[in-house]
Amino acid sequence: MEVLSNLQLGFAEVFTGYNFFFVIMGAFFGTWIGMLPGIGPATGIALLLPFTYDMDTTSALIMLGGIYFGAMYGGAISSVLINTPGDASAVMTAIDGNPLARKGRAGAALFICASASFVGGMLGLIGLTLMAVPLTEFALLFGPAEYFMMMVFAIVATSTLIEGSPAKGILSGVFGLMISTIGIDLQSSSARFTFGQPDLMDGINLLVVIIGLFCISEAFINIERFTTKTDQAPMPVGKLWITKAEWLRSRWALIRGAGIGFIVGLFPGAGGAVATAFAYAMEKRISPHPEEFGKGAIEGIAAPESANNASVSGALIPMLTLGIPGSASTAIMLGALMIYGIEPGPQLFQEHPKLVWGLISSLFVGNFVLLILNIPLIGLWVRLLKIPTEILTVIILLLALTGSYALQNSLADVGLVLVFGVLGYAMRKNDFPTVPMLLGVILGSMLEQSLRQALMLSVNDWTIFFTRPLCAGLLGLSVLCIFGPTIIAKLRRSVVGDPKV
Amino acid sequence: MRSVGFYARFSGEIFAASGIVIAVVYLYFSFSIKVPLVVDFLGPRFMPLTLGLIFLVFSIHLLVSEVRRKAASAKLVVPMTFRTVYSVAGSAGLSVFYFLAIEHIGYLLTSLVFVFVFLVLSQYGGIVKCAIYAVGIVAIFQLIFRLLLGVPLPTIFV
Amino acid sequence: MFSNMLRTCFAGLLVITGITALQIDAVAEEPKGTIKIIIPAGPGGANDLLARGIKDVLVSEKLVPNTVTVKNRPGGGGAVAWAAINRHKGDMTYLSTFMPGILTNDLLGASPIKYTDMTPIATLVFDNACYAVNPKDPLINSAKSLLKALKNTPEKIRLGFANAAGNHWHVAFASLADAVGVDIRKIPYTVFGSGGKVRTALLGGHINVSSIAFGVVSKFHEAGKLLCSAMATEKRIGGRGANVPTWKELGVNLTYAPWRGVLGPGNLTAGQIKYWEDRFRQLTTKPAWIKLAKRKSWNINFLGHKETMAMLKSERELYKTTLKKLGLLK
Repeated sequence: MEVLSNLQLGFAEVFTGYNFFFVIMGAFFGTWIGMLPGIGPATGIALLLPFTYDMDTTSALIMLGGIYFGAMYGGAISSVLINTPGDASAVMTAIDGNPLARKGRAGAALFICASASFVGGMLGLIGLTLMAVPLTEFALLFGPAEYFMMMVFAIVATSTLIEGSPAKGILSGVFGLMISTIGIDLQSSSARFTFGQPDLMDGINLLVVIIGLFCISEAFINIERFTTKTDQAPMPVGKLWITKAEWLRSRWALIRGAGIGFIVGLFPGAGGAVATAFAYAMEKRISPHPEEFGKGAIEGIAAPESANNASVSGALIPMLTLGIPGSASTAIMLGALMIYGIEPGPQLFQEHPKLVWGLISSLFVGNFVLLILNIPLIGLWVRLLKIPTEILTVIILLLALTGSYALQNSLADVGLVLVFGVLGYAMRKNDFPTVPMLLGVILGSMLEQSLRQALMLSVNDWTIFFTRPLCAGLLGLSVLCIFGPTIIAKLRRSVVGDPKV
Repeated sequence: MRSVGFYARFSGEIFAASGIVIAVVYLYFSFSIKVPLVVDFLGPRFMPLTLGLIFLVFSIHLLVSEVRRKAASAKLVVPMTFRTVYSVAGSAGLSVFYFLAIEHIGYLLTSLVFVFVFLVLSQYGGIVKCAIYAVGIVAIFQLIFRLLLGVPLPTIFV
Repeated sequence: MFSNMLRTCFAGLLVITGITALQIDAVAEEPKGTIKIIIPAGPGGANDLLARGIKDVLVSEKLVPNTVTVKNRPGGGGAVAWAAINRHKGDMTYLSTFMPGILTNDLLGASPIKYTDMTPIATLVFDNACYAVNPKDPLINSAKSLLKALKNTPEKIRLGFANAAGNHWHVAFASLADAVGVDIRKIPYTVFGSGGKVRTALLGGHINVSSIAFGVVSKFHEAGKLLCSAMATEKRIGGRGANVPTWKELGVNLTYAPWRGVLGPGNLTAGQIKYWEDRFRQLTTKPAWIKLAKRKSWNINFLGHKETMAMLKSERELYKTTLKKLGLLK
């Protein structure tokens, strides 16, 4: 089989010279970098990239693969332990991971993270290996109209996550979209809401929003906790391993998450954030006990974490075959490829087989290395919880402030992070969900650009969103998301009879 | 400890009202966006105007429902105390100081002061203990960000 | 005696001032820290190829001792990236590339950034303007069918280009339309964030023609996935594009070549400009650069800072007239 000989070529490359050592180094440092709040895989790779400049291309890419998965796992650790996701795709892990850790099951949460990352990563990579070339053709069918419906679908599907008042959820999401309109309009180059400030012209950095909304507000909530003495005792560490019941509950979530993650990852631009949100929403929908979600449901960690790692492989397909990055992290990988003078495209697999298959194989190896490296280290990570709250809080604050400066070496970003931090704190005190706002910021400019491009192509004909088959399909899915649960409930009632009456 | 009556009672309304203000300001500035001569069908104003309107409608909706909810039950649920407000506001203030000072006295000194003052105010321990921790934490940050990652953090010595 | 002393003093002062003046003129300031090249478009387009090429040659030929990084900031026809580097006015470690879009953006009246807000350092190359089509498209799949569609069914054309309305690629297509007597305003178009995205949209059949730099589509042209129907060059370019006719061969009187160069943020000092100008002057003579230019289908055309400023000034007037003539500007 051709695939096997390709993989053989790749693995030979990984075990040549120091390459295997680089995978381990990458996974290890990636984990540490990813643990820093506000620093996700994208920033992590960007920060560590300069260290690989002097290496040969294949070794450097192999190390980057290790850093990538390592940073994703690191992001999960900080999400679970201190509720500060490193990037958008780790947000969903925090929703259930942190409550579970607060219950004294931090070990179990990290264990399921490690296994979900492994399973998701492996299944995704198998998908990547088998489907990279055939799926290229399908990705081409996505034009602006399809992208727009995809974004709408993503927003509708994730809005099912919103707890409490839907009005508050919508306000939060729309506010995120409003933030995304700040800066120079990508389509017409008009300056919008910049008030002549050069610092606002290139828009508000997504990471600034993430660090402010999550890290700073988390620090403030911590301060409240220790001043009111409501949560003086440090989190209990508890048993490290997961129970059999927990494993049985989460094993299918792992597989489903991987499937969703891989498919969503294929769509350029959707990336890990959407994949994890989908996987989480789906688990909650089909779960027999949806009320446990948000309070430490183990499936709520397994599915998004698995989806996150599988989406990486999915996103690598358009990145390698079309040169279209599917996420912030793959965009940086793409940049790295180009730094080494390699142009991704339909010819890449023929032109640089050693490099491409070496990269894919190194991801396989990196996945194993992470599992072996991290399961024994769970005890160490969990012990981080024993750090007194005061110290942890001041570290989070200082990291957020330093990290936001390090993004672009700009003081203005530090100021903005503080603004978003205070806003995030006020929102959390008033039961406004912060995740829709973040999704709004992430998807906003893409949503607007694809809508405008689609209408230019259709010459201002709005019916394309119903008549194009893929659009209609996505629209149908969105409608199903909104009305599906009610219809199913009604059907069930008419058949079985209303249990309440 | 007394509760912070006014804000706790009206925080929902204050939030919804500020939403209305934000929407109006946002819509006002949406109209002043320059439209170039060659432009697509929707143009740069369409999205902001749509978003502003949705935001306005839902803010008003929220305000109305908050007022109604309060009328139905006058119970106070937000357990806020002066001490909480002061400590959160205090650390926010400290962060603002950080933002303003870093340009003038450099990263090292600002961070030392920041961590030290924070730990002292949070009554973590004695002055000496706080100072030792401050030095330790800032040293680690220097190591990671300046040496390992090569971020050009501001210094006083140009 | 006293007046003698005064005179000596005066002469001494003059000499010192002269030396200082000379030094200001001659000493180039060197950049400290990492050089950051911000690309005014997404990955895969002409700006992207140019910026990454610059980086490769700067590093491989050891023209600068510093580490060089590149980063894409697409949007606003380049304005987002230029705004990003202008957050660091006077900092010579930030660079970006420019193209005629920097003039048209400002002429069309929306962009907050003019070329005079930045520091253009040097002009490096000009592009081979290519008119790419998809060979599988039922309506437009060759230069002949493109011309036919232009004349008979302009409303069925779906033009796509990077990366701002009314920019050089829009002008490139408008000039073709004008040459066959069609009003560009009748032709539906879509703007994408980079040449790479345009290429993908053309591959997927979402648009059916694009005016684009040949270097961006050359590999696809060679593989037969896209067809470069014709080029707006004087002569055939050879290499991968040897089989592509010029518009002149096809009986359309059209030549067009967008230029590209490198700029820094505003307020760079004379010494800083001099440093970069020298480096880029050296860069264009390096065999590595000449080889790269051949591969990427660039025509090397070096202009220093002063010449570039003069060129931009005259080109601005030229584009103003062209845009008016094409009906894109009132």
